[in-house]
Amino acid sequence: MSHRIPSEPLPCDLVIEILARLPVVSLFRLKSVCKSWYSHITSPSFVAKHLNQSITNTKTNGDKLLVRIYDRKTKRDKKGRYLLLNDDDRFGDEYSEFKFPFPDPFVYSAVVGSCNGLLCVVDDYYTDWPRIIVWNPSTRRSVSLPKAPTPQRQQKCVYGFGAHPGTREYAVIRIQYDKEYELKLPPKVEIYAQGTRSWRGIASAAPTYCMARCWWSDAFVGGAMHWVAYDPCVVDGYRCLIVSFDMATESFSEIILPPTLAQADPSSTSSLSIHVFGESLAVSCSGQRDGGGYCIWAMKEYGVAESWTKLFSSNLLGKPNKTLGFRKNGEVLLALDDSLASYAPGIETLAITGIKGFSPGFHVIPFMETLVSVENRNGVPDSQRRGSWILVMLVGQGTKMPAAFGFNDCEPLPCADPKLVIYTKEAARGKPAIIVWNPSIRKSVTLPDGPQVVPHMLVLGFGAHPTTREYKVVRIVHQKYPCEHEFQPLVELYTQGTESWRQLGSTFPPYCFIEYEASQAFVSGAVNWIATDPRVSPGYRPSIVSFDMRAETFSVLMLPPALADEKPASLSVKLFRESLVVLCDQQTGNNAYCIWVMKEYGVPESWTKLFSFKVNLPIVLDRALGVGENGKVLLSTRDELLLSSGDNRLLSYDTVTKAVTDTKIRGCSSGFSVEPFMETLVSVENRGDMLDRQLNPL
Amino acid sequence: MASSIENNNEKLTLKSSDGEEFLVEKHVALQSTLLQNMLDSDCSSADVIPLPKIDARTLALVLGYCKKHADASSSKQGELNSFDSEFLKDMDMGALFNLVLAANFMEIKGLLDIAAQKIADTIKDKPHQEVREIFHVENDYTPEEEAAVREENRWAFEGFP
Repeated sequence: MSHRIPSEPLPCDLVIEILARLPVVSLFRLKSVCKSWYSHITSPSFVAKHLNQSITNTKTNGDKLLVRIYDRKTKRDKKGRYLLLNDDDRFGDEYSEFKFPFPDPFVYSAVVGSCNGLLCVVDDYYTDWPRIIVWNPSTRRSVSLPKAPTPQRQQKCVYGFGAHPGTREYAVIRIQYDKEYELKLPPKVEIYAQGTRSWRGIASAAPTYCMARCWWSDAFVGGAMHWVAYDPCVVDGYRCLIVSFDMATESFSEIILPPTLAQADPSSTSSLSIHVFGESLAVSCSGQRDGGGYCIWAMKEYGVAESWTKLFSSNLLGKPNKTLGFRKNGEVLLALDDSLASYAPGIETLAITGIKGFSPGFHVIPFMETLVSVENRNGVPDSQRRGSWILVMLVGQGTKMPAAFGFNDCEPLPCADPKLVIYTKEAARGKPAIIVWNPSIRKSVTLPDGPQVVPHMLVLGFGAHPTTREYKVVRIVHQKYPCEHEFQPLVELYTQGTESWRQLGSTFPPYCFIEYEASQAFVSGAVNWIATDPRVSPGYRPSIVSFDMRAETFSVLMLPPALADEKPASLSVKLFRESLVVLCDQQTGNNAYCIWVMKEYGVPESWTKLFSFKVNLPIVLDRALGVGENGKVLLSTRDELLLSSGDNRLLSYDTVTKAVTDTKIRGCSSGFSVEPFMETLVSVENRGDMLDRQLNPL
Repeated sequence: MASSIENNNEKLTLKSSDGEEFLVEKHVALQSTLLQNMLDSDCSSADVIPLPKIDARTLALVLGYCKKHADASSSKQGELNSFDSEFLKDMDMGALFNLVLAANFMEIKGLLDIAAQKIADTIKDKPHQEVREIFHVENDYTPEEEAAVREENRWAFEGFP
């Protein structure tokens, strides 16, 4: 094949399209091609894109299987091996091998499950504190999770491994049954979420069904873990079912099995097992009392009991065996007589491969190339981690919708236009970047660097010209920390599509200082921030500074007298029903809040108290984050309460009924940011390009 | 190309950057989301649609792909897969780049997928200098920096020239 050098370089987005289709080993090498490729390959957005591509590839033409075996002859050493096999005509003839990254345990370790190319392994026999290992074979990275808080003495544990469907962060759950009560008490459930460094209990009730006596490898499908379970209270015969744990809602539910499977004896390790077949759940059953027989059922439509369909049944496989998984050609992989075997259901043939091992030790997972980190969230150490993973949207009816937009490395600026959100992120070399993002169309641009390279302090504002709708970003750059004396920051403006920043001549109001983390609200064509007078000490004198996007000038708005002495850090500005509101956390730590609205923009006399309320909860709450259209207020629990950050809850408080609801959204309290969300096709790119395309699509 | 159409299907005319015109059946054109959107809006199919970024050689390839996929949409996937791999088999890098650009511009997802995958498969084990030439990128690392980046995942270079 000839390699005529292309005459022109490809645009960046198409280079990324190509890189996203490469295996991890090639990407690790190509990092040293040039610095921009290094940035692409190591960026979280690329990791997410590469994962999406791998998931698609695995679905359409997944052709590699990872097979865990324990060598029969070296059984004494208990050495688990991980083989990579090509799922083709020569299946089992040759393989490559991954080195398991941890020393082998004293006894067999169990594969809990796999998802997104990661594998979770537990050695939980005869030890109070089993090691739980999460491993990415493609990157050769692995972690041993922190110990769970309670030992498992007198307990029987079942594990599950999966990932949050939105954030893609993995989680391990541990379900502990008390042996003394014959597994009849509801189990204790703990969860470990990626990067949190600690285990926590879950709010929802655990089912009384028992997974403990079944061979409990889980199947992760449709954002939920699934196990075969049975009802321990049924004494006459058996009642088996599937228990699932949904990663997004952190709650259990149950799925009914077809009668043949529901009545099977779940106590034998080779009887019932759960698998992923395509994108469906499948349950295999073998070695039952009535002379054996072997069958596999699949649930064609997830959650619909009527859609259980028998894929096949066979009398050929009378002997107990362990179902391991499925091949691309529809054959079923089995562990049979200490060999890996491939069974073709239609023609009832059985091919024994040369892969030998102790039967119960076999485990097969589809192999998927992925750059996903097994360490802290997004590979960033906890101490540096400030990111927010979920954009909380306050939509029409005030219902909240967690949305996964995959901008993991970014810190949301406390500012937004109804259409576009602006983010800053620490790029590889620690240089902050300003990104304008339209989550609806998944498009973003990074703005060019401003003329001031290393400002002492930077405040950003984001809004749009009220008539042209072009967005603008204003930067207020402080060369040094302002003291009592008057100071003038530099003001620079970026207008959509101009590719450069320009300095503004307009004067910044004297004796006004906007904190770096101050919130902003874009109301009536102007960006508004909470500011403070640096001369006042002790005490505070907050006000609102606004920047008009049409006139490109600043002005100062007075706060209502009731808020005139408040600490600026407890105040924030938001948009609510097209008006400017100020949210105030009165006497920090007291769970008391008030919200004022400026009914007529720019008229201080129109300040009206909208709500004031105290939340009766035995925990300390943090700032109020936003108000929904229906008057529900979003609040978060405080960082200091929990040993690890990232476990704070986002709560919704109904100002009418005074009810508090947990949104089930978790995150670092200081990282929560709530913005009104609006679906829009508005371009984030430069204005000229957008107009060109509209006027002349070709 | 233009003469081989015998159906009385609706047809439209595409014009390449080098001025060559292609008469295309509507159902073939619909493989392209760009053309589909244009047909959905009020764009008259009597007009000649200029494709100023795509040369005649590339456009002929693109339309060959579209025709096969439009005509065979109900037939076996396996047949299309073998067509796809045959289609790209002896293509050089320059042609593949043009195909990726055209597929991206005309929004033909399937073609973008296979062409990008073909390029990825080709460069997967290539030496860095060759990759840099293909993509027109300069090595902007100092030797020390490059060594440090290689050290991050030294295992990936085992057995690599």
